[in-house]
Amino acid sequence: MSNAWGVRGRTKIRPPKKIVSDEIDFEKTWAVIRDAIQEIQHKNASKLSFEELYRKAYNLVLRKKGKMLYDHVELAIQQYLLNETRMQLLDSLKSDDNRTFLLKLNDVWEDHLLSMRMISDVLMYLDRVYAKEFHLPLIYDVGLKAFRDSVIKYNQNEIGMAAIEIIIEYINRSRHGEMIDKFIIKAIIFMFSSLSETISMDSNDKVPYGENYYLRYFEPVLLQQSHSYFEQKATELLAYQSGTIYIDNVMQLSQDEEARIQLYLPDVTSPKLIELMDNDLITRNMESIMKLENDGLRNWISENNFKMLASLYRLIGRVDSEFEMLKRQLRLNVLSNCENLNSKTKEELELQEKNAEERDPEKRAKKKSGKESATQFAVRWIQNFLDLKEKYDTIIKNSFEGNPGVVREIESSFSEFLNLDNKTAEYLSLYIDDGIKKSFKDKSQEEVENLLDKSIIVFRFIKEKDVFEKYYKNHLARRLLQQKSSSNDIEMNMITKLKQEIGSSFTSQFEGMFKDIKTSQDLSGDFNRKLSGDEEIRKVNGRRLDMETSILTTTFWPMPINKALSEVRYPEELELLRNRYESFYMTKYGGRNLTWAPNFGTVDIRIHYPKKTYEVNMSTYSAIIILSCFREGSGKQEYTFDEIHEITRIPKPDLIRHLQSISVASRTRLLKKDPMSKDIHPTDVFSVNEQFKSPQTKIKVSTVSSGSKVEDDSQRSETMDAINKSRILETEAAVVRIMKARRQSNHQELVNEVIRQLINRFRPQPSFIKQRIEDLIEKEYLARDEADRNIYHYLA
Amino acid sequence: MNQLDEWDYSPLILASICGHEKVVRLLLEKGAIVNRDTFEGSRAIYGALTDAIRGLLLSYDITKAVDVTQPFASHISALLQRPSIATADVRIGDFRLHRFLLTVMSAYFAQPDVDFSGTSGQVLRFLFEYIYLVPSLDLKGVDVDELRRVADETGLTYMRVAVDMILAQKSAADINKTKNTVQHTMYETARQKLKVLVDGIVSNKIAKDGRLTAAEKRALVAPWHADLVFRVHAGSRTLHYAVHRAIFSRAEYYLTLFGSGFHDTAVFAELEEDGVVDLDRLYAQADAIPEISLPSSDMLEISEQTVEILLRHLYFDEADVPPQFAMETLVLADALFIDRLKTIAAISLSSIEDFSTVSISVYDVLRAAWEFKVHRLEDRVAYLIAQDLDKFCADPQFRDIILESSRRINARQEFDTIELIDDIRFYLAKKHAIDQDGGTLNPTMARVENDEYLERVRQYEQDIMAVDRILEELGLNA
Repeated sequence: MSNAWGVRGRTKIRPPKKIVSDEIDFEKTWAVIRDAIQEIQHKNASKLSFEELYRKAYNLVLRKKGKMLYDHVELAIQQYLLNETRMQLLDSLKSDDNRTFLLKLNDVWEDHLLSMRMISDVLMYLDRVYAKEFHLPLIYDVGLKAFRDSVIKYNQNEIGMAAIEIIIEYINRSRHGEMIDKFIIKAIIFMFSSLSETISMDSNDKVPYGENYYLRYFEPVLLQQSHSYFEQKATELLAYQSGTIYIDNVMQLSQDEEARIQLYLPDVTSPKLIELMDNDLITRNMESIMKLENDGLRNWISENNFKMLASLYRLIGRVDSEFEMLKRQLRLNVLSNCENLNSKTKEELELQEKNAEERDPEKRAKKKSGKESATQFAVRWIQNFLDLKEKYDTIIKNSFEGNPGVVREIESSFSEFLNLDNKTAEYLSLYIDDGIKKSFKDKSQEEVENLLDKSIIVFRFIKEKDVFEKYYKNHLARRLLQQKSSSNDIEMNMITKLKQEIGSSFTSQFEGMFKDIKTSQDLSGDFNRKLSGDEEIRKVNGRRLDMETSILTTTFWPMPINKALSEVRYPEELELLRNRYESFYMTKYGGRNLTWAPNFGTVDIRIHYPKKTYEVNMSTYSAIIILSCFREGSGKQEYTFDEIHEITRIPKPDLIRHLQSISVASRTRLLKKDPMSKDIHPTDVFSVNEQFKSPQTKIKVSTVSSGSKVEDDSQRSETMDAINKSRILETEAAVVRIMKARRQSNHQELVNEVIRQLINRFRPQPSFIKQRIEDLIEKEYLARDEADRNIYHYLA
Repeated sequence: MNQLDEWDYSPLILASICGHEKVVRLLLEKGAIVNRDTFEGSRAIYGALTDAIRGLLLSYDITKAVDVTQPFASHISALLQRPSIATADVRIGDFRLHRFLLTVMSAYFAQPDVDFSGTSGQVLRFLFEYIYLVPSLDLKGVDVDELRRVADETGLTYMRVAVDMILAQKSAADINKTKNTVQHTMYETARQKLKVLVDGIVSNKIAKDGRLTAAEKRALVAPWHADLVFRVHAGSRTLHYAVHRAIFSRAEYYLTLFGSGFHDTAVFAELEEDGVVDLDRLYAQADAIPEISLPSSDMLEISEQTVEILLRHLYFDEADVPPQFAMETLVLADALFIDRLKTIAAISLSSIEDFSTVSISVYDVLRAAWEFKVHRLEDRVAYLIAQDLDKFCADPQFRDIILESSRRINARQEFDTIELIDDIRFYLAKKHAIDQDGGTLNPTMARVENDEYLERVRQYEQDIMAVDRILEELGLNA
């Protein structure tokens, strides 16, 4: 038969120059190629002719000797590697130092690659025609495989493992600071990576595609060794019990390690090794490092050690983009710092007092009342809280890259703490109260603005905003009525900020209060002008009377309308004024109900004592007592407590307080009390204190407990009761509002909507809402669906 | 027009990917930019749904590094821009160049002392890119007046014309169109000039059986600034041509030969300095001028004409392979790894109606098709056999070739088909216009089953039976 493509046929393509025999002498041709391969392997290729060798191989392939040629070439390469290359390397391993051995290994590898390049060049036709047709590896790859099997892996990985051990040792030495020959390591690793473990795609062995010698044999050893190194290093560093030492070292170590990876390890290993390192050094230990008492997170935060915190942040960021362990520890830290606020504030106040006493021992006597210092405490507490907040803000900015997750965690920790009880709402309101009354006076507009903004920060944390509203309303009412507010602008500014924060429904009552005050001032002006010509008044009093009134819309103001108030009996002058004002007001606003609240307001009275005449400003109640009982020239000089009560009908608790302020308080002892004691008893006798003396002509009687102060526990529980009542109303109103709009709704949707509507005021518990719904069903506002108990209907 | 959306798609990319040829054309005409060197450009070109769109985009590509439709031009561009081996023999400015090519393009370069020291780098760049057929024709940074002077001086009149044509355009679309026109003219001019070169080389070949003397070698090679002697046995003679490594490296065989560290062309390593080979030194020791040859000379007699077909193809993409030299050309192209020439030869072979006119047996053509893996030819032979089945059935060689075909499958099983037989059956069906899927099942087909159709079926079945008989004789089941 024909050998190639038709030399034999009777019809011929151009007669061949010479008829070659079918059986080309394979052995003879192969001998030439084999010798050439050997010459190439011994670096004598420059004597060989490419064209001649190519032609020989080409003709063998054309004559269907491809397989023989291929197999012979493979064998020749294997034998050379096994008998010459391998032996040289074993000799070197025995007699040379490690580095020389590695250099030798790399040399023979590079020589081999060069040889294979040339061999595969001349066998190009074999590659393209024979190997391709039979899906065999190209000659060059046969060479790589032979190097792997006949040199590196021969005799149970003899040479490969020797090289791996040496390199691992080098890497270890480099980790301990020794200089090593990076280039030879890189070169050998590159060689290992070039030695594929899967030569052809369709091989049936279980090695994954793309696996190479490096991945299969070197990397596991490297990772194992690195793991023990990192673990040992971690143990070493942990022994110092110092976060600073640990973090500084880990930072340095990871930098060094990454540089090392960059220098000579392949990209595939980099993530594995870094993950291992991060796991051994960071994930496992960083939380206990943060917890260290003397040199851990607590210290860094209290000392504002931004650099350390930033390092900590960066290290944790390597292992967890969510920073969970940092968040966990930060929360504990924030809560613990918050808990310390109480003791810290107390200490500061005591210290301050002590200092004040040292400077001025006179003041010792004037110890603050318990409530006053409690107010100071509240103000100071909020200040301290804001300082703490700012401290964390600065840390977040300087060390934590403003990480939103960390910010959320810290805010939520603050929020958790602030909402443990309702004190915060009261403290905050007091803080603002104190500011507007006193401390903002000497501050610039920007500073005040800044302080108000800070108040809003705290406000934001408070979940039960209605509690704050309650306190703020009380404090604001006192400020307005007692004209203690330093600036209307600041008041309005604060209200605007609150409004921006959660909406106008929250502040509408505050604004109403302001409006009342303004209207009242105008009314008072009109009234007093009218009064100036009133003859009757002049007759009663002998001179002109003025009256300033505050007309308060009941629903805006926090003061309860007490029945007892209307029973108070006024002295002649005041009664006259009252009547005049009522008729004046009714001409303007007929149909409105006017209730007098003598428990607020003050009266100026001129009192003639034997030695001197004083102008005294006192509470309306005190004025009623003086004017009703102790007028000049009245027959009776002495009155018992009960008699005074009988005459004035001032509610007893109030009467006690006001009598105290004009008969017990040392500087304003206008009346004499018998017996002299602090407490007031029903049988006590009061008379004008003829001995009264005061350096000033104008005196102000301050009523006991008239400022904004911290509530005591019973007051607080009263406040909370009131708030609870209003919560019930608000919740029911919300339920009815929603049901009116929807006509019907299932339970869960209704509860969700109620929570959504009320979230700006407080956080109603679902059970609380459920209770309200039950009540409304009882009151027949709602009804359950007959078929589905979960659905409610609105009953018009 | 060239804006990108949030996924980095431009209108052009989308039109190209979705296959809207008319939209692509409209966008291009309105100035949409295709730049292969950018992400967007390559995305549009490689994502093109149809070849027509791809071609359209390429024709507007402003940076075409190579022209895929002109392999010889892209090879020449590569010689300047990214040479795979050092073949340059002269340096002008920063450019490593080839004297033979410069001289071919302009007689100006044949002068002994060309001096470009006063010419700016950008003008030189444009000049040499033009000569080396780089298609970008990038005028950026080029002093046009200086370029015009250089064009006049070097006698490259068309370069001047081309520059003025490009400068006269306003829109990007028009510039691209003009550049395409210019590129076409550039290529054609270059091909003409290289044709003249090859004609010269061919007419100056030396026929001599023995080795050339040093003087003969120098005289053969030096006038063409060549660096190799191409020695071939053609017909009964041994011929020597002066050839250039720069051009021969187009064939993968020669590229490998030049690049491998063997003795054949090792001399150039000594003559090379910084990418430029000192040819004068080579000519001074003319004995050392390497000789190269063809790899297949002991298998097949190659005619002089075939050698010259090879030269013309390598130098200027000559695509004309006369049928009588097609078989030789096919074998040669296969051995040298010149795929394009191999395809051209195969096409030429399959265009032959009657192989006896070129004195080749059909069977040999089939064997060559198998050997060199040219499916087009296998089909062609099957077709020819089907057309003239009776004649082939009578030919004993037909039986041999069927057996050969059956053996081509390793470890053949009983049920395996024989490729040749399958192909013949396929062409028999075509010949008799038989619907192989069984048209009778289709009611509309039933109506055409007239007498004429039935007659065709009868003839078809006759032919099929003839083939089956032969298979039976051969003991084959297929």
